[in-house]
Amino acid sequence: MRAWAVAVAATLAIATPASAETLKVTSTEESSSAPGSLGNTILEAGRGDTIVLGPGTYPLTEGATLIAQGNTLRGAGVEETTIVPTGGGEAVDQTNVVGATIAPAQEPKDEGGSSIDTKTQIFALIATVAILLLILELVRRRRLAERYALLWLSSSLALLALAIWTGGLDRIADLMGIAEPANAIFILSFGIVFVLLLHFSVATTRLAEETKILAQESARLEQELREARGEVPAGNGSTPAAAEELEHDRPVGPQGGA
Amino acid sequence: MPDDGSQLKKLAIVPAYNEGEMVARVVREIRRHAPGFDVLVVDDGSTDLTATAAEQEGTIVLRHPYNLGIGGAMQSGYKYALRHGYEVAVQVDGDGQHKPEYLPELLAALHVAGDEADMVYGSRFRGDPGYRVPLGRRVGNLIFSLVLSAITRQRITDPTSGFRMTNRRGIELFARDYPHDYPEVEALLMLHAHHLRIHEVQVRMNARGFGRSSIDYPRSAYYMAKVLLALFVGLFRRRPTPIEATGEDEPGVEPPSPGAHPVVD
Repeated sequence: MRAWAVAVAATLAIATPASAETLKVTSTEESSSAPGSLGNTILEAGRGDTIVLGPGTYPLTEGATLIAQGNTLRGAGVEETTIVPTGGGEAVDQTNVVGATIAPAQEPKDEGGSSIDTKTQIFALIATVAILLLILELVRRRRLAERYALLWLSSSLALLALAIWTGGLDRIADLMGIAEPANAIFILSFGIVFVLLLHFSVATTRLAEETKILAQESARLEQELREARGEVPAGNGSTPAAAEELEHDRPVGPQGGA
Repeated sequence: MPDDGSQLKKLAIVPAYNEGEMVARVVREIRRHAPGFDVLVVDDGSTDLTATAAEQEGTIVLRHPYNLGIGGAMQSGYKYALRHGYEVAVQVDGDGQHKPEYLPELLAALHVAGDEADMVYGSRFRGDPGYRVPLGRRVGNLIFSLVLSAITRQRITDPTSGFRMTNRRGIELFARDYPHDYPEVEALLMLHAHHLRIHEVQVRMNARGFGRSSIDYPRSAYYMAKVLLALFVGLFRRRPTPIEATGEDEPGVEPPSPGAHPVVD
């Protein structure tokens, strides 16, 4: 049994990267620029390092760095050491921490708590209302046909709805299985833009076909008109110049500019 | 039934885009070698004096208000042929590539062959093409040729040749529906889809006279891709006008629909 334990311990020791060190936190300051604070120690730690905390309460900043580096926090015991996550430390959980209690996260003081802050929401509201008014104005001046107007109106209304109902975006993202609401809106808008463009390509193809027919018809009518006015001989009839066979003997040949 | 096609109403369609220098010669050549053909010049939105030059030769001229491309120009010609009751229509490019001296031969093949062909075209690649065809063009042609020959189950040696003569059935088909950008290959597929029969005749052609080929080098890749796509799509395309060869072929003769013309009994 003993021999086993020793063997396992030895293997672990070898497996651990040679550079992994143990660093000690000496200050309970919150600022990560203060030497010896927890935040400062995390910034100085290397990949896989262990950070040792004495008894006391330590504010935890730089949580993302901690997770990225795979550091371990080792306290003096659950009763003795408490870690209080603040700005950016919320993601740290028990997997990174040994022998310490993690207090509930403290919200940064200056933010409202919703995923979109008020300034953004005001901006989004102004922008979407402006788009909506622009479309209505275009329809009013008959610069935009109703069937396209309908398309654009509904998409700008959807944008407006999302601007007002901020929880909606989170809900939609959640339904789509996307963690970040911003990504959900990107995917949705790409999809909408794709369909719109496809629609326009179809419309353009149809227009091209229609204008081709119009051009052919206009050519035909012009020819018939000139014929009716007697400006050109009707049909083909006889060849006009009988002398052409004399003046023109060579078959049409290659002509320089090739 | 005429056996040499001399009694038929025949139209030579000359699509021309800025061929003011060349088009008159082409028209005169047609008149010289095939006097039985009326000549229609389709001026496809030229910015030079193509239309005037053609008119001075006494041809019918259709002036497109802007450039529609060879497909649109040919379709205009076929529409004219259909409207004026022509029974034979042939394409002779306005740049002088197609030699009108072969017109009687094409006509004979179309007509003597009679019930075997609805469209006869001049192939450069059955023998000596008559000029040096650029390598890229040859390779492209070979690929199309293989694909089309496989689809139509007959040997098509020069699918990009525009020098083609068709009968009333072909005229009707092309007047209603003709492909756009590079129409020659796709048009063959259309003929096949409508069970119209294709026949080829060996010809020689001129290198292009004035003007550039509609396909220069950087565009040939696009050309290949476009035509192959058109071929592929064409296989599954909806056919707006099913015109099929039936054997008893007089156009316009349809089984009398019951009740349409009540018998006077």
